[in-house]
Amino acid sequence: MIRVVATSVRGPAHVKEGRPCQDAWLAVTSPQASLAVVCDGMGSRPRSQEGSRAATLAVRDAWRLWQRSPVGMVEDLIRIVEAGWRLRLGQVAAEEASTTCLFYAEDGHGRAVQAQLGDGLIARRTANGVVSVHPSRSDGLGLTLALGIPHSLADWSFTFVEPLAPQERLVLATDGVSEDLKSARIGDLAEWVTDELGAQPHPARLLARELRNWPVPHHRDDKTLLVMWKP
Amino acid sequence: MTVKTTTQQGNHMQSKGIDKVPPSATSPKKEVPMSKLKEFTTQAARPLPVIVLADVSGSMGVDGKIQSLNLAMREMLDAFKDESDLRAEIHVSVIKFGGKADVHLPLGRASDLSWSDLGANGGTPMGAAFELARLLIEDRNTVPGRAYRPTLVLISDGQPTDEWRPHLEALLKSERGGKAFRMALAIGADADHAVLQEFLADPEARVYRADEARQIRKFFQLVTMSVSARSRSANPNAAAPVVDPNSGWDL
Repeated sequence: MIRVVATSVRGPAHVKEGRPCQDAWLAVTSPQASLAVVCDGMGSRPRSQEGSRAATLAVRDAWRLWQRSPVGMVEDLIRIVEAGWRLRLGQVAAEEASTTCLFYAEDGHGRAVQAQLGDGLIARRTANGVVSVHPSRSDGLGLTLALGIPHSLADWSFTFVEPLAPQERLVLATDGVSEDLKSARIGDLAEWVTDELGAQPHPARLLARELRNWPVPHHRDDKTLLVMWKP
Repeated sequence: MTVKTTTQQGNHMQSKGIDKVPPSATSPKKEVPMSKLKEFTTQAARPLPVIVLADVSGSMGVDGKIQSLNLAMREMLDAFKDESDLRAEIHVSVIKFGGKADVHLPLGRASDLSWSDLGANGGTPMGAAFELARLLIEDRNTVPGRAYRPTLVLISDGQPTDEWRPHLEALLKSERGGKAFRMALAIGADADHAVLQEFLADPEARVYRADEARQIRKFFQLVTMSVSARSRSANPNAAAPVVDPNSGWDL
């Protein structure tokens, strides 16, 4: 059975302003096919909290449909996500609800997909400790791509990957976490979440406590970290 | 056969829920060491670079211009040092061009920098300064990907004396240089406004003018306010509103 430890916490800026967390995450675990999503609503947009939540649900909606075909293209999945997100928003204007979108999705037919629009991190650590980081289209300096901001399919970074193997860890994070991580320690972070926090009764609560005590000076962002693994 | 599928999700609602959990309910059976994340994270705040391209050609040596520039730079650094409650850590570099272009102040934390006065002599190799700025801004060891968008500040009182256009084009077309915020100050009547406007690369952006040396200080106060406002804002990558210098304290 696949396991997940994930949480979102408000960053100090939103705590100070009395505003809610604008990150969201979602995970579905099943023996056939699993899904992990994290989204970071853009702080400058008034409805981004709704945008990020709608994006996680849109990915789930799209993934459920996409799984029906053993030969579905990633492009199809992303197009459904884009349309589903706008529909999920209802009356909310897309540009007021901009959000990044990162996900890992298994199709139940022996395939899996990683896709990313905007800042954040998708990484994997194999059982023998090899770490691979999904390439992002973001070029640094925080000029992020997002749903609700004009973009094209080419702005998504997506690829087919192998489904998670036993003992392999998947890490998804919003940029409040990923921007401050040492790249050489991503695998160790995943291992700490699975082996130390995952062994505790309430790992998500412990992770939330750690994220609230984020040790980097001047940090302000909301933070979301999701680790999925097959024990 | 029964197959178990589990869906979990969270956003602000879940976070609020966690906030309300009494401490006793969250006590783990085994103590987990705190601040473990320190091992996995950098300990440096995200930098917000400010790169000043300062004309120190011979003509800056008259009418108190270079003295005013030195005073303005000193005041700006002091102001950045006094800032607190920032989202970003302000880093400053100064590239001077007078006779030749070189880095007067390597990019570093404003709080750690001390200012040594500039002198004025030689021609105006502005193109060489653009090239140095491009190399600096594109160097990912110096300006890491986690940095906020830099601010480029150009001040000049004369005509460029080298082939500036190819270097400016290279700067503006570079992956990161083109995305930097840019501000420009023309000092005196001999300044080449057209070059400064091309540096801004935005027909709606204005080149500030200083007809007297003391107005250089006012321009740098404007730069300081703009950078400080960004560093305090929810999103330091967004442009901060710049005070209209025509409203009460014209340069």
